[in-house]
Amino acid sequence: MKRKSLLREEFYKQGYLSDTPVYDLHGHMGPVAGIHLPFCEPEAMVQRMKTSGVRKLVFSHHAALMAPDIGNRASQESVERYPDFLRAYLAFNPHYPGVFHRETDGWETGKKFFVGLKLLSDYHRVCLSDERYRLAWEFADSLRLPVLLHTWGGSGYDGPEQVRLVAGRYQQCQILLGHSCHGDWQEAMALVKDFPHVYLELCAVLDERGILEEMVRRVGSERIIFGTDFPWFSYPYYIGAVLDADIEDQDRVRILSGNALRLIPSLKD
Amino acid sequence: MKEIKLWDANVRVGRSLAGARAAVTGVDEILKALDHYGIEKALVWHIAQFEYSASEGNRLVRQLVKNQKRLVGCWAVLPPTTGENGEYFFDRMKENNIAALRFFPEQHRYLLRRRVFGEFLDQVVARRIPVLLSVKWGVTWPVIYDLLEEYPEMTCLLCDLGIWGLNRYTWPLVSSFPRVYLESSLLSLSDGGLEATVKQFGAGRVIFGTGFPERYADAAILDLLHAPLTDEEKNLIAGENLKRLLAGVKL
Ligand SMILES: [Zn+2]
Repeated sequence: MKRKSLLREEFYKQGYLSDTPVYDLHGHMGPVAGIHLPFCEPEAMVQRMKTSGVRKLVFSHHAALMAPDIGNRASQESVERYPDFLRAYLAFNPHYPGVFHRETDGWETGKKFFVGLKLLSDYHRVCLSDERYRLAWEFADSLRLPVLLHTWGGSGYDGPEQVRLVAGRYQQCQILLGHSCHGDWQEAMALVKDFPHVYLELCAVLDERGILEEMVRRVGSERIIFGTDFPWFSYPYYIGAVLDADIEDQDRVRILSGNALRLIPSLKD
Repeated sequence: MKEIKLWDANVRVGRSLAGARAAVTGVDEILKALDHYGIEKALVWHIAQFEYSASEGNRLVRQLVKNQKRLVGCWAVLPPTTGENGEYFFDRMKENNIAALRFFPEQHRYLLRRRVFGEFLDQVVARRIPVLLSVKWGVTWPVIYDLLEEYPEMTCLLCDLGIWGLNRYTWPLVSSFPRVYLESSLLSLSDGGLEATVKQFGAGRVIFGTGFPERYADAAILDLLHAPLTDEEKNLIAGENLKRLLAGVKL
């Protein structure tokens, strides 16, 4: 029924993978309105990463996304405290471009902490292709940064049609489809096929069995990025899902580890 | 931890009318999957109970679990007044290796409350038959709260607990009603879901489930296996709690 996986056996035994450090490119931090997150502060998060063999998490603090009055400072402070485990995305809220100017002006210092941008169009209620995002896209494009998008099937703000527009316009940055246009899997895979700088990302994908297998078959494991919304989702659960999928161990290594390093080599530091 | 005995409270069989990436059908296929994951026993329901017809779906479950040692069935229930549950319901449960019930009030278009189920649910409570209510399959929180107010001693297993942590909904129920349990398949998806719940209420109130074949069974198993809990706590969640509930059913 299933092919044998040495990685699966290892994770069953010890709860982490010795030779495959995991890189998670979609995380958050701090409290959030709709969920009781029991372990959302940086100390606890880093401890849990260690336990599950997660080498680095790239995150955007909930405050940076949801509370413009606090903003990206929240992310930066945690990276300063745990530089061995954390990097952040600079969150951009298109309603407050002034905040972004202030942060990107200091990019030379900022880039120690921030490795890319995070755009949350569905929540900010501005389409990805809207003029108000231009500043962020041009910034990412000029520095060839990864841009993690929240993408959701059926959304007029960040559904596949919107992604297609911006992927055509901005081709120097790397576009990570957070949640892989959740539900619109076929369209997400089509985007990855059509644009070499677009990647699928697994957050909120792995609670349904079989989609990952289809993704690996259609676009190849080189184009799939591991992400969890941690501290929303559990590492043993999410890594366990990748281990349970009917794919090869070499695919798992790419998804959990290799692809992230290829995209952001500095995560190794 | 060396040996963990897994009893899975949440396995769904059958092909969905809407198509599905993952479905298991025959007994052989199910047992093979249980072997692969090291699951000793499973409480199963059939998608036809929801999508097609409660009684016909119940028949499919009956055929599937009859004389099976590793499978126990759940039946779907309709309001007694329309007579669709058939006669000698509890006797037939016993004869057919059925030990738990599921309710789908949205899909089957009825209200899940005393006015509709009256003495039938008093019997279910007195017989300590586990009632599985799934948020994913259309049982809403106000319905669950109101039902438990009316039947506070009900043995109730809340299943498929959202893909985002739902402690603000579930914890008040676990703390108020002594026989409310949480099924673990999506509790495990939430970071620290098991750990925080056990810290609050002890390991007696969580029951292992995978949501297989819709979800990856390894995911729920590994989250339990590597949770920062004692072996005793893990064993309770893994199977002992469900074993105890099923042993207490009076049919
Ligand atoms: Zn996110």
